[in-house]
Amino acid sequence: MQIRTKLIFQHVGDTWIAVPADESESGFNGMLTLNDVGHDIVEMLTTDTTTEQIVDHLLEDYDADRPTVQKCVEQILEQLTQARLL
Amino acid sequence: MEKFRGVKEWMSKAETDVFFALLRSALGSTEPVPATLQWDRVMYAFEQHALLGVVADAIMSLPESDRPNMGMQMKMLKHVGRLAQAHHRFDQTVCMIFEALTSKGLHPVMLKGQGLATLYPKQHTRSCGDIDLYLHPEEFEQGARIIFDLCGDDRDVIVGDRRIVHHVEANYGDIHIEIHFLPGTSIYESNCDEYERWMTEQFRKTDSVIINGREIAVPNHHANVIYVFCHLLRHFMGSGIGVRQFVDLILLIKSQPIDVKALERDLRRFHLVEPWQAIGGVLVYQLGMKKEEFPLWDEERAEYLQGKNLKFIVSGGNFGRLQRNNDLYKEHDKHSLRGFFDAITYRWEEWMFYNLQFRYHLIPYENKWRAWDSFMFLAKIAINRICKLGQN
Repeated sequence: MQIRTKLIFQHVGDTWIAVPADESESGFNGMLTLNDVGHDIVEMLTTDTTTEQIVDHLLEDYDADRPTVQKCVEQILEQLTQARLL
Repeated sequence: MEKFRGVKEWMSKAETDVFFALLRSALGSTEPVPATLQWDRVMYAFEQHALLGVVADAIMSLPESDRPNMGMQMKMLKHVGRLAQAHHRFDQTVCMIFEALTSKGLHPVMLKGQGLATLYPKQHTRSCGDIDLYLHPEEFEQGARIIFDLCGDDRDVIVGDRRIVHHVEANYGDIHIEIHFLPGTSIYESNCDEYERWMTEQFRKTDSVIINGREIAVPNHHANVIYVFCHLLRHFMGSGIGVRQFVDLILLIKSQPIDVKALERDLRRFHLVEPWQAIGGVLVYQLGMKKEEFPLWDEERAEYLQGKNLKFIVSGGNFGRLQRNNDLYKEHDKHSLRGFFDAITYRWEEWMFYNLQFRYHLIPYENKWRAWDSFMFLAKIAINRICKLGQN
């Protein structure tokens, strides 16, 4: 799976924001506000990837157990789907 | 885009201190930022000075208890998001135009905006209004025709009166493009021609910045510093200045070493040393530049734009006087046309007063046009007064 539109990321303080480069193409005219974990997940989704690959990548970088990470990833994927970005 | 509107009073001294402390923090200072409860005024001021994106990182790096409320934070983040989108489109457009022009053997030079944005700690946080391109005189007509064609504009390329306009305009979608056939003018009538000739020659020697992986020509550093400074000065003495222009200048000065002797020679040639030293006070005292980093530092002249003169700059905003007056008008005098005109003309006269004062103090005595400049500005005030009487 992959995010449908090109996103631009901007790091502001401890927050990441992501906006579509071209709103008219994406049909998404909102903004994602993300923490570091959210940013890592969304950035991975800018190329074709799987849930498992995302979870494995996060487990390398963060001190958390697999079920917790899995749940976190699924929540964000759900939100991205609702926003019609996936 | 959501705005920080509805602010009824301008910033107090304490809030102005927070304003500049945050700016210094955004420019790399590690000094602590004083806390404020009046975020609405401070945020409004940043917006009016086209600096909200620049300070967003510094604001979001404050301890959570010192930040503005969540609603304001979200407005600010949306603003940053919009700026990032705008830069993305502007950068693409700049590259497309340069490709079109250079492929035909032309040598465009990008002025101000997107070139200066590359100097910012986070370049996509500088506000962007339009794209300014300069084309050499012998390439102007062909280059402007190419840009018009890209913009789907079938107008003829007509160069207007050189004393009034310096560019022709085109629109690529919603992006405004100014194609300059003159590099700009001096603030003095007496040396406009000399300044134009000098700058025209200078713009043949270019530096470059990288945008989207492509080299984009910008004026050479020495010329760019003088050009950006003169542009700042023209805004200061004419259409209204935003603190963002001071930020542009400080980042430009710091970006590369400056040949101070050459700078002094050329500033002196155009009678600009004194105004340069006055502007230096804002860069050092307010924006945190070290005195030794500012070329031609002068302690006495640097004091000129402090106190009430600084307050006047801060309460002006980026082209912002009318905007602010309009807001005050909306707040206080919603149904009176006269109130509207009063708000504008009052502010304009105040501006002219400061303008005149600035000229009187800082235009060098050897400039034979000093008296003429002052006379012209007095005449404008008089005309304004007559027009106002006519409205009444």
